[in-house]
Amino acid sequence: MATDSLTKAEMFVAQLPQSPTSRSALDDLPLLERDNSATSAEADLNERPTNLGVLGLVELILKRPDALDRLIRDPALQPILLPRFLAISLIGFVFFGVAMSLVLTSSHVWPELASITHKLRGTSSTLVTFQSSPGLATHWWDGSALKLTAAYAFGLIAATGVCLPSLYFYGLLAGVRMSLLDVAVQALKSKATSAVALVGILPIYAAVGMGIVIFEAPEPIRIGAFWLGLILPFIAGLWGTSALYHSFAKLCDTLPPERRLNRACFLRRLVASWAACYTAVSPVMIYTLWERLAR
Amino acid sequence: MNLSITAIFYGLVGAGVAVALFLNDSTCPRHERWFRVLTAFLFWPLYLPLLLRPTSSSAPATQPLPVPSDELAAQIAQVESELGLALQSLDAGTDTALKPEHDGIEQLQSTWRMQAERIRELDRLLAQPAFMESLPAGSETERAAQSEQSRQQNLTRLQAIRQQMHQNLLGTLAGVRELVTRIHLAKYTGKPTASELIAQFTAAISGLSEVSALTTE
Repeated sequence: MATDSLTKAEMFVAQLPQSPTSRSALDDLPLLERDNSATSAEADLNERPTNLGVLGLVELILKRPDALDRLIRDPALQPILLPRFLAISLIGFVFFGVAMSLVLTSSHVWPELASITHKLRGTSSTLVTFQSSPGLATHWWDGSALKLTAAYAFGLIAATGVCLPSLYFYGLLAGVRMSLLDVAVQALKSKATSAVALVGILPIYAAVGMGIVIFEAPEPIRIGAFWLGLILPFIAGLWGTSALYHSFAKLCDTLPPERRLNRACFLRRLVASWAACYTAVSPVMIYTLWERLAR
Repeated sequence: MNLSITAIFYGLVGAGVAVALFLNDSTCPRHERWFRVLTAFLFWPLYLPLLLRPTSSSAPATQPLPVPSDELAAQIAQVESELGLALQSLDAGTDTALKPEHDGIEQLQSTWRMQAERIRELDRLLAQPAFMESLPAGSETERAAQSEQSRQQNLTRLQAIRQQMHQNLLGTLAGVRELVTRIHLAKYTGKPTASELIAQFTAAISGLSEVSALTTE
């Protein structure tokens, strides 16, 4: 069996694209002198970021996600990073709430929410209807804009808290050595990434919203644009999901090498299913909160 | 239990966590401390792990396993560094055809680290005193001599397997180094083409996985 395996292994090595000289170098692969570019690139990768404030973290999210992934695994930094990721997320979602309220009030509409219970009982046909609104400032003064903002900001982050134990459980199931604090920081980093992406795409949406108002777009396009606005955090959430997916995949280096390959694939699938679970939980939470607050 | 009662219980637990957090941490700046307290009241499930974390200076949970610092590890690090630079140069350039192969490349790296670990295992095994000494000649029976002969043959085979695995790994690393130079060549001359490079990478990845599976058997 071993001889057979070795023969096949030899065949594989022979099939590898090699020059004649590389064959002779099998026994003693020389170590190259490191060139300057290699050293500087490696140094750049290993350089520890010094600015860990909110703006510094936003910069890391945008420019050096790999460095951030290494940083959040430092147990000494986790208690510092957790509230800062939360602050980034809250700021991003509050920006969204304000921008969404601006688009809605400028369009002289406001969403009216029906109870989920009524919808399930069949007493209400649609969950959200866009009612025309009299003035620009009405919904700012009566607190509707605040309720929308609060529902999104609280709902999106609280849904993470609800789904946190399952993410921890999935990590353990895949064999990754991680604490609940590791999971919380990973999840909040993903949320902060979503919030930064959301702030990034908000100006584009605001332009769309203004275009609707200025060019008096037909009703179906207006309704479509409002719905697009309401699901915008979930579109931005794809960046967060991607960040979580890659960040978790890197945690596989805590596994023994012989198990790493199989477990990495399993872990990635579990993280993807957790993202699907979160995507199901968060809209329900936002809607429930918004509908309760709007009563 | 309706939403109001749930909110009351949620708020009570939140208040508890917020107070605990306030008492627990007095090192951070004042404004950050109050931000923590306020957000802990609202989002206490996220702060609970912070309060429940072990305070002892135990080994961090998600730190990567220690990387061995032998010659094999140095060679792997060298090849990975070269491969990383080559891929970075691709990312920066216009040729992005190899980007879909990144997962496969990660798999390739993982596989050769695993092979290196197997070689180290065999080295440790063969370095054991029991595997190095043999029975003194003349003091054995015929059966004992036969067993000793078989034992020596098995040890020789183990050494041959170790040698072959070592050669396979070095061959793979040499092959990857050649691929790295081809990537650089492709960037400046357009030959070999991106599709040829992809084919070579795919062959290397699938071949290594095959070898890995065989050695596991």
